[in-house]
Amino acid sequence: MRWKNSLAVPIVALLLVVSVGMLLIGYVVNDRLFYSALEEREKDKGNSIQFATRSIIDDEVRRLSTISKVLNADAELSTGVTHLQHTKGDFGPLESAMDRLFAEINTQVFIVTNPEGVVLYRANEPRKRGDRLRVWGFEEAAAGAYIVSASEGPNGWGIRALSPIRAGTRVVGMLVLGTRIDKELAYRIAHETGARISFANLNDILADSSPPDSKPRYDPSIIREVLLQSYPIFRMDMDEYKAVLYTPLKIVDETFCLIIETDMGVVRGMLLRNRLKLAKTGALILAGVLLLGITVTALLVRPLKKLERDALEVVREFTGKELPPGVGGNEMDTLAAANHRMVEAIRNHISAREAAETALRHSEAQLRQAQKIETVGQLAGGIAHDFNNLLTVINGYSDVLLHRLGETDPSRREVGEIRKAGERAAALTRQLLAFSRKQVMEAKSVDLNEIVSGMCSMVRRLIGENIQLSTALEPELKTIIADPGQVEQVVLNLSVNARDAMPSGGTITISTANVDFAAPEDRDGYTVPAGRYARIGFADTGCGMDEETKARMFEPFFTTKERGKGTGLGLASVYGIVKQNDGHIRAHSAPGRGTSFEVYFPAREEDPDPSTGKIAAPASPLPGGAGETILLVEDEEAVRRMMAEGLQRDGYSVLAAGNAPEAISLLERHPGPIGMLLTDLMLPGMNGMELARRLMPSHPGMKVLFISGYTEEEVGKFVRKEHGTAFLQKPVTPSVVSRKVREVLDAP
Amino acid sequence: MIRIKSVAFLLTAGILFGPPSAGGATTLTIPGTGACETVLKSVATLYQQSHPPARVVVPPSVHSEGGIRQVIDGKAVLARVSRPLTPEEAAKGLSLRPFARDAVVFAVGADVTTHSLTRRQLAEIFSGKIGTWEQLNGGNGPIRVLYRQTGDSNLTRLQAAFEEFRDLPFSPEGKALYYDHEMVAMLRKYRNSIGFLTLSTIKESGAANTILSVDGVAPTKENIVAGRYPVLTEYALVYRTGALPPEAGEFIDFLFSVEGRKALSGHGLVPVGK
Repeated sequence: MRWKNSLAVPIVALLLVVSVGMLLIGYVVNDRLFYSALEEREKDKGNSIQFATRSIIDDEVRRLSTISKVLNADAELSTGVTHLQHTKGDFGPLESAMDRLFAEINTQVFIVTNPEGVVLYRANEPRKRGDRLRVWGFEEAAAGAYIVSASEGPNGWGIRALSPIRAGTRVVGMLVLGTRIDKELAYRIAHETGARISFANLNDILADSSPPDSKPRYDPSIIREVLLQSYPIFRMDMDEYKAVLYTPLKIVDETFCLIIETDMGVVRGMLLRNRLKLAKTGALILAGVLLLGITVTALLVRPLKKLERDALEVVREFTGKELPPGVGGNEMDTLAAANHRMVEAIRNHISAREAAETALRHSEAQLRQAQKIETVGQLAGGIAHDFNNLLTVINGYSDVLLHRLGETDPSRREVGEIRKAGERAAALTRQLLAFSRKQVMEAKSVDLNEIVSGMCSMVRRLIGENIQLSTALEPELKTIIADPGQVEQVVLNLSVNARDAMPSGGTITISTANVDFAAPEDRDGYTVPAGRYARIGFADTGCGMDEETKARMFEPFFTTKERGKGTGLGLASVYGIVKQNDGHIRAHSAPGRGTSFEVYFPAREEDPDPSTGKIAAPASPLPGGAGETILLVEDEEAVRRMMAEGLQRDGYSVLAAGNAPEAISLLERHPGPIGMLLTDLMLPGMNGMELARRLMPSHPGMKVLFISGYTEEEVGKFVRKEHGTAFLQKPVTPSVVSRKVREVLDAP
Repeated sequence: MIRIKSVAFLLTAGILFGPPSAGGATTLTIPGTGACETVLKSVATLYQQSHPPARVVVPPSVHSEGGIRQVIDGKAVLARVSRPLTPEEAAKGLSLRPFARDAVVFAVGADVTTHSLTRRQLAEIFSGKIGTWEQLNGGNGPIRVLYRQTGDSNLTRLQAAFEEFRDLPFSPEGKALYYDHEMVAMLRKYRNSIGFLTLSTIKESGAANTILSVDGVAPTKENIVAGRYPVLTEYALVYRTGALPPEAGEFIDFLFSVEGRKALSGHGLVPVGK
């Protein structure tokens, strides 16, 4: 099996897909957790910086307030300002005093003005002296209040603490201390917090801690939202690894947006390490899953393959077909296919067995029926044999008596009746013999069409005027090997049977056909073996038969006719004849639907011999004997005497013996030639055939005529084969014997 | 692609959505403008007293636009505003329900002696052209200009009413303020200041600042009702059309009830009919 057809592929693929899916989910969750943790961390950091910034700003405001409050009451300052006003423009002493003070307190802005706001002293900017200061809160401070404000001045945004300088209760000047909200402040906070710090309002970034060449770019809409909605906004930019917190920052009476930008560069390494770790774990898990998939498949595939092999083995056992395993897909597919084939094979096997059992039961039934008929036949044959002997005596002596009695003898009529009854009995016995297949058969090449055609006029007379006879004969009908006389008897019996089935008239159809069965033909409960046949059919339109009648119709003495009208031997003798000629017979019938018989005789394969194809013509009367010596061997004394007398009367010289040794002894004592050995076949001790064989070598011209009421088939064959031998079936009359003797003696 | 992770969170004391109150009553939060914040708070208190266990929260100002945004985002069902809806906002399925009228007034610091100015004078003061009160005989010293950021509803009303204010550049020495309460505080702090805000705000604050007549018309109730006072503003509630929950509907009904209208009048507002 190719690997791509293996079950391993879908299993491993499924496991891999599931694992990859779970890993992806794990990756995403991990990423989210990482970002969320990072976000929390950066937000916390931003908030800490925000608080630190607020603290720095508050400290600054507090510092300014404190210093200005302290200086507010400074006598030197008050004196200086008052002095200046009195000296009208001599700044010298004030300036030097202020310079000293400024150096001590170190504020960014240090201004002293007169009560109208005219600058008297400005630290680091002496040239601006005389300018008018326009800072927010000046008027309020000039009125005596202490004011801190945040506002935009000429030098930018700043926090200013204004405190009036008093001389007594009179305000003589103003001290303005301040811190600018500028780059320096931003840088200072940035330096302390490690973040990038910017101050913005709605219009602009006012101050930031970045180098001059890198002015930060922040989203003005976020700044606006923060300022107007008063809440902080946090943004994280993972492309640049920076976090930005925008938060509102109130400095005295001005609200700014404080922007705190922190660098997350350090996170980049963490993130990479985290991803690498995840990738390593993922690879390990995938490898594990791969291994697991292969192991699971191996464990799964082994029993599957065994199941498949077993199934194919069953298929092989039942069908004989050797199928290769592993064809047509993965192990599951091939197992399913093998299982399907196995089920099919078993099903077919069961069907075949059932069919065979049915056929067997049928055959057994047929066999039982055949055996029954055979048994009855043997019984009938045995009885007929004895009857023949008795009838030979009865008929023979009847003949003798009739011969002796004069035409006017009063006993002649009675003897005549005995003779007639004897003949009827003889005819009955022949029928019995036909059924029991004990008739002597003289097989020839026979054309069924010729027989049917030749018998048509006789059959018409037989069936009467109210029954129509039609024939359908196959012109190219094959010939058969059969005894033509027996075939004629079949035609007659079946015709009579058909006639009796149609008391109110109808049609008999006799048909012939060539039939070729490639396989045994099973129909209507009869089986015809495979082979070529010439078929003769008899179909009537009569009353038909019920099942019981059909089952018993070939039994002898079984008849549906009223008592005394039928012998019950018609179909039985047909059956016997057909079987004796290696044929088959079957009937198809149903009550009210008529009956049809089909008789199959094995077709003769070679061309028929014209010489044997003719039916022997009936024998013509022959003259009596010319003193030829006949050696008569017959164990029944009455028969022997009757035959001896008849032969002697007809001009033959008779040597009569009761058994073979007696015959041999007689012959040895007889000096003259022996024309014929006339012997019963069944003799006590040495039988007739053995006797003939014993005598024939020493008497080459001697003809042999066997006579018997009971003839085995082998005897029949022997009779046909041996030259110079003939056969006569009992019961016989003296005249029949004389005629046959003459015929045999005259034969070449 | 720039991936920005953003989180907005609140530092302000109250979260806009308070937790549900005990008893299962839903808390109705009405974010928005600072202009009518005090008035609505007062009406809400009255409502809660007469409708227990109802709870109505009027959080600190996030301006009209902040309130509207929360309704659009589904974070609030009602917002308080002091300006009309923009076409974009109206297109998002919002409804505007005006409930009271107020005047945008000019107020001055404690040291300013003038009581009335013309709109021209006002424009020149706010642009910085007139820099001292002496120039107007209104006091002494520099004029401290307090104004509002661009987009503020009071400024917008002012610009709508006075052509002189439409493209006015505010004095560079002036202070831009973002909230009404800042305006009140700054007017108190700076004695030479001048600023503008709603009449109800300054009245509610208890500040004693002088409120100026404009072109000789004082923002009295009569002048407001009569429409003589030139700068008026209207307060309204905004909600998503067809999505007004029962508790919001009940509050609106109360606002338009006799009691509600009385409360509005008591705060110097002119109630608008239902």
